[in-house]
Amino acid sequence: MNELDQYKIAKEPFYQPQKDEIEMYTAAYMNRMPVMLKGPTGCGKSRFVEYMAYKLDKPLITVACNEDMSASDLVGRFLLDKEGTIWKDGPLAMAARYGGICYLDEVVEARQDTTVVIHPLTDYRRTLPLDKKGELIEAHPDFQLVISYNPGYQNLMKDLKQSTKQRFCGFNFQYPDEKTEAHIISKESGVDPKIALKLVQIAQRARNLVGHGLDEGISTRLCIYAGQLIANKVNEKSACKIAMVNPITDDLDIVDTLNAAIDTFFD
Amino acid sequence: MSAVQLSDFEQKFRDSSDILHDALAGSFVEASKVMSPNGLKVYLDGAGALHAMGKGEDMVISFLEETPMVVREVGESIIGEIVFSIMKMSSQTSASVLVLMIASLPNVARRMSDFDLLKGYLRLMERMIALAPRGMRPMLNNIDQLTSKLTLGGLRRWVLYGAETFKRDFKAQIAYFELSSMESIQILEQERRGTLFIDNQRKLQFYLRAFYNRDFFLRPTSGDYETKKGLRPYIEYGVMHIPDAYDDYKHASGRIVPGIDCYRAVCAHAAAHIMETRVAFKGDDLNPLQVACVSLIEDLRVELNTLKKFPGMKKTWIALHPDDEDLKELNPFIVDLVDFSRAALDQKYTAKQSFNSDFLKLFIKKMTKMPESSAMSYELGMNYYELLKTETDVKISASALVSTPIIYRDDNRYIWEYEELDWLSEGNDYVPVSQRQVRKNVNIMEMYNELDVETAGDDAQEIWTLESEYFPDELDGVSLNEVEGKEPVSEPFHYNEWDYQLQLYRPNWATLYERRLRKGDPELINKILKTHKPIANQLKNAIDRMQPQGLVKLKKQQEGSELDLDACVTALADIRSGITPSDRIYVKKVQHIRDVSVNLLMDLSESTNDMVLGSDKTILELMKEATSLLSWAIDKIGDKLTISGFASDSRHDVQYYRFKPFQYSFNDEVKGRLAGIKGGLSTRMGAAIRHAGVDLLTQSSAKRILLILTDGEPADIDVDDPQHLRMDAKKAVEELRSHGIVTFCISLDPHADEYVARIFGKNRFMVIDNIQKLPERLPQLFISLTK
Repeated sequence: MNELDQYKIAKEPFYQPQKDEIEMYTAAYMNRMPVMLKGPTGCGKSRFVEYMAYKLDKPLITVACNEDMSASDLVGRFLLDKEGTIWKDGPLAMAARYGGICYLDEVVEARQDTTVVIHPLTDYRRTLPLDKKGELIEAHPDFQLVISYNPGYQNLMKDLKQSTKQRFCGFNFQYPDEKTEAHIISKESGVDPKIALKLVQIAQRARNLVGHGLDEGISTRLCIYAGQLIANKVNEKSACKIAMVNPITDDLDIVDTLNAAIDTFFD
Repeated sequence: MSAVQLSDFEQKFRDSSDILHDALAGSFVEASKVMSPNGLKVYLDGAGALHAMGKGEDMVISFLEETPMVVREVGESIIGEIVFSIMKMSSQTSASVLVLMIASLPNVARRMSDFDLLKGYLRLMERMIALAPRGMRPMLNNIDQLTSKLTLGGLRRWVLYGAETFKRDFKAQIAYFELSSMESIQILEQERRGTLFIDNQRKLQFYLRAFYNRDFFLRPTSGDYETKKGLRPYIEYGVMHIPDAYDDYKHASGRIVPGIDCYRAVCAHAAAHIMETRVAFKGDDLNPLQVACVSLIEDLRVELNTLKKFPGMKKTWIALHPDDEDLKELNPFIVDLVDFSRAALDQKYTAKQSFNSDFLKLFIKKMTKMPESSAMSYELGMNYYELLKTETDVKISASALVSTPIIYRDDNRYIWEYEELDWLSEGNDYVPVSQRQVRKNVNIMEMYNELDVETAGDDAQEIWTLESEYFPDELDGVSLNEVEGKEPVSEPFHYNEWDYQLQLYRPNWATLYERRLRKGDPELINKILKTHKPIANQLKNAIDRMQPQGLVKLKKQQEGSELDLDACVTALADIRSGITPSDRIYVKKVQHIRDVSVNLLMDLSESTNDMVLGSDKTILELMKEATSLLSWAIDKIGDKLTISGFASDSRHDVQYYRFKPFQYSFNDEVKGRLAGIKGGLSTRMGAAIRHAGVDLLTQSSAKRILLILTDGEPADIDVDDPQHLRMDAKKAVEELRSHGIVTFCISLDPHADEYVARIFGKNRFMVIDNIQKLPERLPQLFISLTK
């Protein structure tokens, strides 16, 4: 277990449950069921996994997926040292061998031929063949696989195969309702709850524009950034502009509209 | 060919010079591209009439040359107006001034890009000729500068000021219109247009959607004619009509509200009405003052309801309430209304009139009890009127009542009369030829005895269907179907069309049918391939290079899935001998595959039947040759290809032809279909692009490309506004892009640069000016595009 100790979450992360997701996840983990988290960016998927890993007291290995990632980036590869070659486990193999939660963030970013390596781990077999090394890892009883993806911005070229999708149970995440979101923002950033509520209302204006000029709305994460700036005595309007408007769009008309929304909520 | 022939009009220009004849022939080609047969007739008749006036040929020539460009911008209804204006002015000025006036039209049309506005411009020119004929020439020399700075209303005031002020002082008059006098520049600055609707429409649309999460219809109204005030905004049939320009609003105190904020306040208020006003009031028995009171209470009710959700919005509204200084000269009745309105919105403001404060308390009480009820506004408004009658002098003229000082509120016709949105009465007046027919089933005897013309075309008045095969005597045992049979037509597909003026889709606007043309002789295509053998040989190398090679192993990489044995041995040897080893010790496997699907979409409109200058072939024949070569090349490379074409006869009948489906190879069936390509009708590009996109989406390729081959810009007989189909095509291209389809346009129109870039985007088009080279260029282009 020592190998994974560094991956343990030391301090309890703040997580505000929206519904019964904590109970549902705990039940899924009891059965070591692979879990898929779906939802827009910055709505709390990664934080949720962290929180659950802490609650269940299991190490969490996170992999940020990208297009250039190959199967060996997950499974492992041979390295060279002065005696010859040595095998180095990849994050997936490590989690399977020593028992941890392996979290593949934004899994659609990885190519489809990469994602299939998780197949034997995610059904009744729970094994990971390392064909280059000639070893078959039997997954540790604590091992669980979690993936996240964002159905919003994926284009037609990037999607999970049905055969991959149908190995997971799915959790849908949305931005929380107004009050909950304001509570989260105020708790995370230390900003006054009233200001947090205004930040949420501004974010909702942008979320109304999704599909009408915006690909994604202002996320909870960006609201928290704005809140943190305001808590540090930055002027409210400027904080909103740099944290919530400038990052999400280059379209001047939308920037203008969102600035008008900010002016509506802040004096 | 179009129904109107130039030769029909020859007798009108019988005694004219060669120069005029050349201009006529040249402009006719240009005009026939942008005008319907009807428009062409008006155009040529008009030119004939101008010629008959005997004011010289220059005027006629400039009319012939400029009018098509004007029509391109504002539609062909303007032709009659132009002719009318020229005739009216011709008695008051010289031909050379008229030539200048006509020459100014294309630029003015481009700036105004609206039929009514350009008509207004012509009326203004007529008026100016009567008032200050000497100023005409200097002004027309500066017209570009003027129209870029002024709206039509502004231009009108600038002109009338000059004409009135310097009626007798000719020298000053000329200086004024030359823009060389101080006064002239001063008035120009004063009239300079403020914030324009057209520049901000998109912003406003976003603004409304952001706050209300739904779409609203916005239209500009060209107010601002005689007085600078402009029309008040109004809501009709659910559409917000908003002035086409707002100046920054200046309070007497010097405080300035920017134009865009005025727009936002107007939109937010109108949206509040549309969201909150549910019942219309009957205003027949009320006097105007009662109407004003009820309207005010209803305005405040909808605003206060909106403020519950968005408290910050009141800032924009309060900012446009007049200050005390603004109100000095107004009628006391109006001042009381404004006082009450301000007090209701602004908690920091206390009403000047104590009766207003008292009534406000009552109003707020009612608002907490039944905020949703319009009836409450009616009742309370009537009470308020009774109250005001006892407190103030209510003598006021109707005109003073209309010009309320709170500019952002609409004229409330919306709450006094309300009708269902009537979509059906709009745009349904044109029935395409193919649908004006009687269809019936007949038996063999009727067919034999009563059929007059077996070989009538698609536009026959009646279509008879016989269940069994029909063998007419004269064909001697061959069925009529084999000789005259037509290919079947698909079920209709409906596509939305983008209305750039509303910034919304017109739902299911265009109807598309997939049709098949009769096959031609496949030998024709084989012959084409044979004659172009040299080109094929040139292409062969490039094609070989493009054929996919499958999996490629890249050695000595920094990253990779496997160790590169050779590199490892070297690296180990290096380590043992104390040298820093290279870190490039892996093998990377890369798939070298081509995964491309292409849809080649040809514009098969009437104009493709034109002969190509300096060649004995039509555009269509050259397109045929080019596509044959391209299909041959793509077949060799191994990409998936479909070849299709389109034409349109109004929005009810967009025709889409499929010459080669994806699954077919380049066989005789396909060659036969290619040989049968024909051109006719118009170019409604948007629907065809959308349909071609649907076709491409069935393919799972990584790269999907739509190649459009066209000889002109989008146009159709039922659309007057030339911008409309361009914008729709642009939108269709954007839609495809969002589905990961790349659209590329190959245009054969040498004047295409003006619009293709706007439709397809920078670097997404190519204009081939030497059309004769098309068969050679098209495959080359494809290869270089997909390398």
